[in-house]
Amino acid sequence: MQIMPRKTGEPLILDDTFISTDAGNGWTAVYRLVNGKIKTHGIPHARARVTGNLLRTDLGAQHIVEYADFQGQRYGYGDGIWNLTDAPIDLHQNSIRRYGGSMHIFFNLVNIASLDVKSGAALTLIVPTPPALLNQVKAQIQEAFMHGEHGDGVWTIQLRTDKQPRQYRFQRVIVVPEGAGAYAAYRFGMDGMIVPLPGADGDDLLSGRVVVLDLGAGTGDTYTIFNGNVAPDQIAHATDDRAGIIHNLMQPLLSDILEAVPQARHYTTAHVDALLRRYIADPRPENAAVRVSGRTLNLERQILDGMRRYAEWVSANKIDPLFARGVDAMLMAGGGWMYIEKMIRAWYPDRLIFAPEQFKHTRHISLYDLNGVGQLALAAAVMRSQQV
Amino acid sequence: MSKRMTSPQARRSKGSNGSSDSIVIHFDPDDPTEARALEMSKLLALKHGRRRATIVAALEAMHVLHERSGRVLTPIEVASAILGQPTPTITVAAAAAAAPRRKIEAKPDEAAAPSRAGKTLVQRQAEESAANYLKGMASLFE
Repeated sequence: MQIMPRKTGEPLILDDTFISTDAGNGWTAVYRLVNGKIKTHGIPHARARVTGNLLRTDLGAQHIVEYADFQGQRYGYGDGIWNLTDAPIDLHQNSIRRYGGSMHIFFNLVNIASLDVKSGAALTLIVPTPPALLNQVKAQIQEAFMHGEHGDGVWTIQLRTDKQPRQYRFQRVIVVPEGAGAYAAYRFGMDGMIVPLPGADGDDLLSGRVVVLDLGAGTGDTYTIFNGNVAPDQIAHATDDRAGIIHNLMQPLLSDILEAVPQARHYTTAHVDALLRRYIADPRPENAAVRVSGRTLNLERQILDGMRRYAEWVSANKIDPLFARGVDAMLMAGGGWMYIEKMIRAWYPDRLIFAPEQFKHTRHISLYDLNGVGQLALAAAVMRSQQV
Repeated sequence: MSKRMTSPQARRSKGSNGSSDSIVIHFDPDDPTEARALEMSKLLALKHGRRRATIVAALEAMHVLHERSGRVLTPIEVASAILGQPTPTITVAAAAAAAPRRKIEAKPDEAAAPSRAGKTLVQRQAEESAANYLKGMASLFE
């Protein structure tokens, strides 16, 4: 997928060695600016330990599962792994240990290689973490990524389609709070220039108290900014690990599936995530059907009920309290909004709630790419400000 | 400027900032901004009570906005609110009452075009928030 950045005539300040990452609990992606265009690659946050023989016999010659060799092990990834019946699926969600861990590094390497970044490249990585965990995990992330497999800083990965292994080195790792990218995506262009946003009353739309409400798979993060200043006393309470779609949408659906098919013990929230993504991309009844242990279930009613419950929960527990405290505007970020945006807009017609499609310079950015793309804009803006 | 006479006892010691029920402003005639403000003050005072009513109206409107949004307008914002009024009959209080709920009518193409008259309020606000944001983020990029 390519996203066209805003053109101002200013020279771009970032080069293609900057890689912005967003390895969430449900989806993991990287973003890179190449010749003025943003390129991205993403996969579900799940992998399965596989062998080549298992892939051939389990699925037949017609079905290809993407896999990569990493640290002496072959891992399947992507939506194809849900069809593997005997491979344990690693999710490793919502744990502090996952930051800088083997899976975290694996997914970023797979995505970087999938973007066809040249082997041997020395890269600068931008890695987000939940705001409340930033101080706790920053050092472990930087040390892990820059360590390399054998302490020499070099990581090796070989995709199914690669003739030779690829090697990458992370010469610099920048750790930022999740949500920082989303604000930056609205405030700056990809050239690092400021984008004023005039409202009907003559004020800049990002002035005053602005909250980024980042609804992801594992967590919902609330990031408060007042005239560009981050409120430090609110950072500790910014991450809610019960506000993501795993807890509010996927687990209830998984319970419904297991109630209908008790023997489907291999089913996980990651399988449900694949179903939800398919449905939300094209919400027709046939896309809500899933075959589990020989039974076909149509879950459209449960999905729609779950979306409504989630919207009501976010409204009551996040949005209402924020506006009651005098928040001027709210920025949507994260894939969780894809399930509730229409309902929230209908319930808050007079409130300033921003989505990327409302502005020319963010129109081509999807909600789940906002943080990742915005982190590149943030890096460009920081570099531009340091040049002055 | 207060209508009430302060007692000799009250004049002896200055209390903490904001503790008094009256305000006294000494204008600096050598400062161009304060000289213009003094001129306006005298103009308003030509009609009995008008200067006091104007100051009360402005402060009361700021109070309404503060109650609703938690914000205290800066002097620049107050000046811009007055200068941005469409007709002289619309009071600052009415504008503050309408302020909390704004509709989005963003015009990104106009935002991208530089203003001939210099920086607009939107540009100044955008630059302020951007500068503050980058100041907070810069240490993460070191």
